[in-house]
Amino acid sequence: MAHKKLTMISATALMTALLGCGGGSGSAGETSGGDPAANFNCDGSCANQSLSVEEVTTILQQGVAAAKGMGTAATFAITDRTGNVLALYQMSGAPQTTTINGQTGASGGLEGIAVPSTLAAISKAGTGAYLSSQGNAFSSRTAGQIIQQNYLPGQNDQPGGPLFGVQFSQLICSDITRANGPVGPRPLPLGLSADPGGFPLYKQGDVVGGVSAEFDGLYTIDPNLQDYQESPEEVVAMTASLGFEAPAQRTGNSISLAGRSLRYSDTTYNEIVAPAELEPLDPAGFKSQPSYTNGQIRAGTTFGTAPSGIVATEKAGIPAAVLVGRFPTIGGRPLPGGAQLSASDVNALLDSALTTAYRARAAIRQPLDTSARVSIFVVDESGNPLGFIRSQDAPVFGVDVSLQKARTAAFMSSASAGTLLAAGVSPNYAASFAAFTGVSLDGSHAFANRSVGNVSRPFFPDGINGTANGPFSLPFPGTAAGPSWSVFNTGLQLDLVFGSLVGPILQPGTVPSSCTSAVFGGRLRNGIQIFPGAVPLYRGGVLIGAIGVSGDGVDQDDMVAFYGASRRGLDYVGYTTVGDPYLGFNAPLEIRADQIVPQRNSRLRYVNCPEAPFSGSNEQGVCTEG
Amino acid sequence: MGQRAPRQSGEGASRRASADALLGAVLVLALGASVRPALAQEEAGSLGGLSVTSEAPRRMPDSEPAPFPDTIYESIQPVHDSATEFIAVPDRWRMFYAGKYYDPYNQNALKADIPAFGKPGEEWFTEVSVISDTLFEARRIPVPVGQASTKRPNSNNVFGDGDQNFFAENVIASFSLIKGDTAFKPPDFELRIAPIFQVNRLYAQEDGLLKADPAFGDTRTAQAFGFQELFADIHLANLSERYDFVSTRLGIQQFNADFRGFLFNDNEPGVRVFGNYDNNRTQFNAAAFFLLDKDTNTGINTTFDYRHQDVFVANMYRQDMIAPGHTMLFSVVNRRDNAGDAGYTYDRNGFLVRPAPIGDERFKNLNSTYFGVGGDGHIGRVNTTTQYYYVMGSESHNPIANRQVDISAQMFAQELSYDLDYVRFRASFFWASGDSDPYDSRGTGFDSIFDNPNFAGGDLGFFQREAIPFVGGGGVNLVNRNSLLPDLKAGKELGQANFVNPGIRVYNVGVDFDLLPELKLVTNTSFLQFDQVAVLQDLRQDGSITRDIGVDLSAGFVYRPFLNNNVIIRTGVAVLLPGSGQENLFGSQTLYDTFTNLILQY
Repeated sequence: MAHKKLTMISATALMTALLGCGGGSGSAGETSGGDPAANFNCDGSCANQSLSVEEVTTILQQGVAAAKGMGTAATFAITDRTGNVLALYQMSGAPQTTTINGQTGASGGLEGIAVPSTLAAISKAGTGAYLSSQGNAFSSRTAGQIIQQNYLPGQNDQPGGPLFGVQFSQLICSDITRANGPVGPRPLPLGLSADPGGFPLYKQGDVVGGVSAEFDGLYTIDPNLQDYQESPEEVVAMTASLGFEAPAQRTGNSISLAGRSLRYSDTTYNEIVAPAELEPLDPAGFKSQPSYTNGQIRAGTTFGTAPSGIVATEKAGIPAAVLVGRFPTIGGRPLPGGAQLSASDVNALLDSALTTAYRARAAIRQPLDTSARVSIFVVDESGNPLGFIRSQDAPVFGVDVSLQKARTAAFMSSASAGTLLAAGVSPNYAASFAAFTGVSLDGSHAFANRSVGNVSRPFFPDGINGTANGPFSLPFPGTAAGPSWSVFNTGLQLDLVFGSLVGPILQPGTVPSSCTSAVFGGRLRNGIQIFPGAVPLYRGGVLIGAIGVSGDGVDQDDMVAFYGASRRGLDYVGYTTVGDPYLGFNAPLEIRADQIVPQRNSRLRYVNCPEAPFSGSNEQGVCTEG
Repeated sequence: MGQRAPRQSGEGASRRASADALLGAVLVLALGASVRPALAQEEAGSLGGLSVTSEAPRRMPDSEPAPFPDTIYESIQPVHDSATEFIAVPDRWRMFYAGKYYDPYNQNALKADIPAFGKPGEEWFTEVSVISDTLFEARRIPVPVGQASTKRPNSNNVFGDGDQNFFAENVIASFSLIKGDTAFKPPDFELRIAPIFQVNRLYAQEDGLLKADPAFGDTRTAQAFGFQELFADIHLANLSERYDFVSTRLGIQQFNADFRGFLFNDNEPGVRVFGNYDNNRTQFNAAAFFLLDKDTNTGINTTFDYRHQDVFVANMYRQDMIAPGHTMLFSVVNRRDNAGDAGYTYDRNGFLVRPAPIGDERFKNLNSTYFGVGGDGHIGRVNTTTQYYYVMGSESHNPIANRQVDISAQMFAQELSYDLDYVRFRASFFWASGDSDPYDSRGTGFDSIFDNPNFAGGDLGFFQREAIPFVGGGGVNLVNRNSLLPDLKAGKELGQANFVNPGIRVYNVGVDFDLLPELKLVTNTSFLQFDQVAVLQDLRQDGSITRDIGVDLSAGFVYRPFLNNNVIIRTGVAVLLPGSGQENLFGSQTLYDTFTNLILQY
């Protein structure tokens, strides 16, 4: 029944795709993305587009004209949706480096490091491309809003940003975002960027890439959301994007995350003046950057086709996508008693999770009531990928992040977590955790990624300013001596990957074989992630893996993971005999991390599933067992 | 007392007025802003302690029977040249038995029954009142589990356990010093101080509700001291032989901008010039108020934190318009809120209140002007109350709209009732316009200044009595305590008005029974709908939220065992049976409250 219903829904969606896409009244240009007032009405199923070399050239020329008009010289990057660098262009006289500053006065980590402006530009452009979709357009400013110690930044006693920690994803050391792979998605040299001045590019309502401008010498984050910053980098990047700007109805301002709207830019397109004339580009301005671009301008790939690295498919009757030729569904590493996940278990989990996302109202997408679009990874208890699926049009950043999350949940729930952490990273975060919570990381508890996030914030409880840091975080500047917290020095998360992140910056062209030290094997191959959206998986009380989800609101991510692995979720897609009769693959209640009450009478969380999550239903409380 | 001109009877009117004011004040604080509208209403219709309007035998749905015989000004009798018919009495105050200081039932200097000091013709009166108001309330409202931490394990979903109980004890004293021959002539001077103290205790089941810090625990005890009244009242002039007059009142004073408290019904510091004219057929007010922040957990005025909000009022009441016994009100009220210039403001529990944690959360100032027309009284045997407001102005930056918005919103309320023996039948309709396009440059959702309405069930109804947090849609309340307006603001006590809101339609019927002289039963059924749902849909990212809030059923008793206001016991119970919109917003469970309220007065 469920399958049949879903097939019918997807057929409807396809009809919508055929009928509903394209430039509404036709006022938008046929070849350019068009005017921000045009409502392309794309809901995630519009045909995918790509940037031509001519279009890339136009974007660069517009940016150069804007920078010249401002009397400055900038570095520009343009990527396609899977992070291929289409152009890296540096105007004569542009600052060669930019200095990292997290605006909290912190020391340590990446704070104070001067990095090439070219790398900053690639990260910023890629951020615009990676965070956006046909349903949402987010900029690097949006990223900066959702990763700080309080949300909104600048307010006291508010829990941290929902995507706290996402900046350390898409790393060059990842097995997802590969510099040397035949196709994307590609790494971003500094991870996702929070420095204003990176925007997505659109054509006919579809994301075709991202563009950035970097010239102020500061790679930073905006801690003050009350002012209109008038960021020159934003003005230049937005001018560059003219004709390819995001539909106004899709920008962060039109999207409410738990009642709070997101920031897209401190400048509006109404304030952007189109350059009077475009000058030819200086061939010497095109820069090569080992691992990212050979200095040639190139056309973008079409998302959803093989060259992009992500191709369309269908799973459980739902429009979906996979990474080309990668991560086939397999069983897990053998465990005593044959407890490991079988390939068919993994298949059932992916079906269930994908279906859950399809049923769920998206939190970050317009129009309202379109389904959540996410990336889903299942790993075994050692962090080996067992299968991958993503919803059609899910934002690309979630591919790497969903695997980070799955690995984090599996790792922290494993018997060897404490030992490996003590051996593999300094300082000894495992000891801090044990001292803080009274619980050892020895497999006794099941840690969802939300639980890990709880102890990875500079304040505990999360967001209560002035309290001490969680044991996986660093103290907020001014509260203790030594290294201190900023978005560029997050604690365990950065310390695990620091060498693999900084090494390639100092020695361009090197590509680390893992983000973490050899101690960890492949368990944390692409680093950890410290915001919600993954749960560990169990059979008969034995840890057998984890499922990680990324791409929509964090509560939706949580639900897709938890409900997808639950009895109710598996039953919904017809896998009534797969998994435990009561729990599905979820952890026994008595070992979940929400049994842990560390200091200050503040219990860890496990998952938090959203209100009225499913379209066409008022059902509440879906993440309850039984 | 039969027909009498306002403020004719020194002790009677004076005592009653202050008692009512005190009761109104008590009610204002009960539970952080509760005004017992029924009681406040009488003050509402009064000018400087004069009962000027609506003394018709209309009883509010939740009010106790009027404490004194009602008077209807069908008309004012023509003046007879009858002074000579009276026999001079040397000291009329001591004609009756003078009781002990603790006996309020006989002539008492502490009750302004007899002069406290001063020579004849320049007597000074003192009046002292003390009220104890005790409230116990149990309720179930939709609440979220803590975000950073939950009280219990396996709290995997947004909604938590919303069962709460609340206890509050208020003590209000009032001291008045009055100069004048208070029998017929308005007093020349009055100084009144009404300090209030409240202690309360709230028990809630989830972390992060009582304080921003989830580690706080499950019980919050709060206390506050403030002034509900602190004013000097100066008689400026008599305008006629019948004591039409002009007075001014300076300081913290109760004021209600209309008959039923829809717009601005509060105790705030200000300057008010008021009086009457044309044999009291016209009353007028011109006032400026400079609002105080309220204490977060008690609703009592702070001492003295400026709210960065000023209110200017000009209004006129005219009796016997449309029909004898029907008073009309014409008003213009302007409110200027400059709290946006004051930076982030947090309440005492650590929650952000200015700007409201919703939308893009940018600072805002606003300026709104209300034009009102109201009516109250009876037409034939049908009692009627009507109020209409149109509001215009602008918000410098509405956080939901993400832009500056021009305000253009409306409110309409109509109640009709009919008395049959000991039963009163009521029907009422309330409409506050909603905003159908949250992102455009117009704010068409009606919002008030500080409403405390006595309408459609008053504080008996669940939706009106309880604050409902807008779970999943920002850190604001969908509706605030003692309000019908779903205005999505961060509390009445400290939050700023918001004109991008869904608005509401209330269809209410009720029946009141005077079962015994001491006992009254009030019943209400209200059907509630949002006026426009686009704002809710966008904030919750959920296009399937529908209009229907649900059916609000309530019943309450008012028991006055001694047929006076010295002991009043009120109890009430209300349930909200959710409609489809409410189910989508907050789930299908039935919400309820029940309360018991004991008021003792000296």
